[in-house]
Amino acid sequence: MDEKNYIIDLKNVSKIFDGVTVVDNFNLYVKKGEFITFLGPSGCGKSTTLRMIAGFEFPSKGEILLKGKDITNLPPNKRPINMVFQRYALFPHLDVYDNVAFGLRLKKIPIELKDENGNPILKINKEKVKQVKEDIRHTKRNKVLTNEEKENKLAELNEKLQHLLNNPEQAYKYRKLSNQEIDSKVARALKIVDLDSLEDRDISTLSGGQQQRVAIARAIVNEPEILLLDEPLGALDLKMRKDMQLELKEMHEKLGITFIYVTHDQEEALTMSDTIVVMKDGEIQQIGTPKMIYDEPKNAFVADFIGESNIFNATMIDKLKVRFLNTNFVCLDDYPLNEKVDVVVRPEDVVLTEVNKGHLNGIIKNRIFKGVNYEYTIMINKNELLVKDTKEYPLDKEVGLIIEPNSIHIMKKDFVTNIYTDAYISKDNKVCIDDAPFECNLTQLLPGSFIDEEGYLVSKDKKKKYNLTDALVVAEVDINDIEIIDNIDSDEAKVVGEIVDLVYKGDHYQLIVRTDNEEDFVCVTPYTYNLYDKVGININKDKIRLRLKKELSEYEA
Amino acid sequence: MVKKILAYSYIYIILFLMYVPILVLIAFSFTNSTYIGEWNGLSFDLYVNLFKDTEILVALGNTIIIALISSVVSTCLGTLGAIGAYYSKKRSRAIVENINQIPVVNSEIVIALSLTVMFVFLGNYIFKENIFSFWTLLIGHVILSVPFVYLNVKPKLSQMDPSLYEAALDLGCSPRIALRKVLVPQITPGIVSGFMLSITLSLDDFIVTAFTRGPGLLSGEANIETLSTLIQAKIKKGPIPMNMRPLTTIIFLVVLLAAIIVTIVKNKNKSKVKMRRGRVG
Repeated sequence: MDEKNYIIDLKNVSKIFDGVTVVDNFNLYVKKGEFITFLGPSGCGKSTTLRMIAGFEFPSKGEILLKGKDITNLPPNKRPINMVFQRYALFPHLDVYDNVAFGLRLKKIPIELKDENGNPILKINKEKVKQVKEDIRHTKRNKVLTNEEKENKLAELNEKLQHLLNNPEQAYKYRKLSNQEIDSKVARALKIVDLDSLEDRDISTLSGGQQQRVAIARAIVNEPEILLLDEPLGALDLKMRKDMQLELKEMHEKLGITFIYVTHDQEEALTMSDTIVVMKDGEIQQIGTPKMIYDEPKNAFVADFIGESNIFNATMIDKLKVRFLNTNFVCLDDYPLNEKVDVVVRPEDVVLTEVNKGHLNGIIKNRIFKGVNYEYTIMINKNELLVKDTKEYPLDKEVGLIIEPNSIHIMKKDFVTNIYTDAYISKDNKVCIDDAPFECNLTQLLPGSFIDEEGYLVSKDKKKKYNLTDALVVAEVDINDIEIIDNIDSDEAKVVGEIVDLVYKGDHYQLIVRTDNEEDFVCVTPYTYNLYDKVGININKDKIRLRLKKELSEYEA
Repeated sequence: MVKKILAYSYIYIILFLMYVPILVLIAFSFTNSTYIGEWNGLSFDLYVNLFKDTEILVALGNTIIIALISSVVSTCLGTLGAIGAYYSKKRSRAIVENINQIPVVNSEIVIALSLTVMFVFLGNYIFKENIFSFWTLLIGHVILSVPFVYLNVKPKLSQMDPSLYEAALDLGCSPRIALRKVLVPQITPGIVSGFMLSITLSLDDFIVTAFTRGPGLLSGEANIETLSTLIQAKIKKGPIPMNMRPLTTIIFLVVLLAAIIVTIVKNKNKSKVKMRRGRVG
């Protein structure tokens, strides 16, 4: 592949902080002029990845190429990349003009050195030699690489160093930009962000939106190859944010600079990006256009994170036929017979109709008026289905539901982890999965926190308390961490279910234990069970990973 | 109403207690009586004598030199320390902060005595000569004021947006230029107040000075005499020297003038017309 087409190329990049892997084997290339968004919940490694591209962090493993050149260990001031910071980071001691001119005043323009005959003067490139020596130092200090990897890398770098020392290159002298040049560039940048009338103002006298614009002007005035934006709209109010989204998009088209944008707001990502990279726990979940990611999410996490969605466990029962909600549906995705799959149905794709006229029936349990439409929660036996419809229906009415084949998206089931998207926290700080309380470790929701005697989650500095009773959470349990209890009457059996599926995988069985409420627990065991055996389920409290559906701050007591 | 009376009475009592003694001192600097409290009629003799009194002038010179040098040194050390600690990991920052607290709460006599013991030890066993000199005095004064500079700079750093430094790097500054162009301007008020405080501490100091001084500076072969040690020596033998009255009056007036200038500069109208170099037309 011709790498020159890519403006930036991250190859097997990993970042490990004190033994914790924050970014795991990240591979991504970005085409010139693209608007790419890193999307994910907080702590998914998206900001760290951005900071590695900016040069504030250096990767523990892997390399970053800018236009094919290795910039892995290049300091931020030597990269043609500029960043718009989350809280803008404007210099308060300078006014708007001087903030924007800051980068230009430091800029050095190279001029080729020539001797009297006009031939280029050749010198050993000291800058590059210094950088290679720096690379060698970084490699020697790296604690993550194995000795063999280190030696190979060092040998490669030493060879590069010898090459540089033996081959003089074109020498340059540098000049600064003249005041006229700076002035015209600043004026142009301020015009692009509509701030030309405010250049003499102090930063502290500007509104949040204006500060945002100064931050953008300060970055784009340097004509970077890539503009990095780290949740730049997070501090603005909703209306302002919407306006800025469109403006940023427009600016991107006008400037033709590559934008790399970081956000946890899925709507922002869908509105603005050419490409979205969905991340979770330092790993890329899916890369694609907004439409692709919305319509064809790769797994339950992506489907749940992007937009509202109904996700159900389903089984393929025939060619192009899938069963979920106790109903058989025709679908368009072809999966092997009896394969356990996840099904995503977007709320706006379900059509409400009269009883018995649809594929299945349900009862309207809740209705919220949302302006453009109504949002209904419909109970189908014990399952909830979220539906958006413009027509008004009364509560508790039984309705028919039509789910067309093209609105059913089937995803390969992620068999490594059981994901329970409708879990909640009970009064005694247990997590209820399928209405059964499991002991869990709530302190994982806030690093360094603990539970006090009254059952509140208390932050590390003891300043904030959270009451998590009834908080909706997504619980995840690895299939290896689910214990099967043979004696279904013992206290250890928190839930009881029937083995509905049994696959022999060489040296172990993979079971699906289905409870009366149709919740599935996928687990592995070396022992032999029979289909339809009744067994109990228990989960070690430290093995349940929790993620709040809302922000933690909403539960502050 | 009661609140108002209390508030005002507080101000007047403080003003009275602070400024009446100074006014009395100023008044008695214009008479030539040996003992304070006697009024011999208006006279400028003391002012004339002051500038002939080499002993006091030498002490004054020493005091100012030490104050300036030790303040510059401790301001640099304290500021760099605060910046370094701010960008360190939490653990090392906590250690630095706690170590810094100890000299602040520790009594001065402990610092002075421990320094003396150390200097004697170093002189006896390592340098094999008496090392008490200007340098030992300087070390004493720097140790005295460094923690206070740190304490003045630290809050300015915590008020600052931590990503400013990164923003400067991002815009092309090398770490050193980022420090000078972005970080230092943010914490300048803290640096200035730290500097002023260390000048005050050094000017006033008696205990550490008395313990760590040696020969040098304007005192030549004799032990360095500062104003505080000189006065201490004088009042051991007799009354407060007469020439101290005009001197303290002058010091008070200089400080007053400095305070007024600082206030004026701070409140100076900032709406100056900005000149843009490079603007055409």
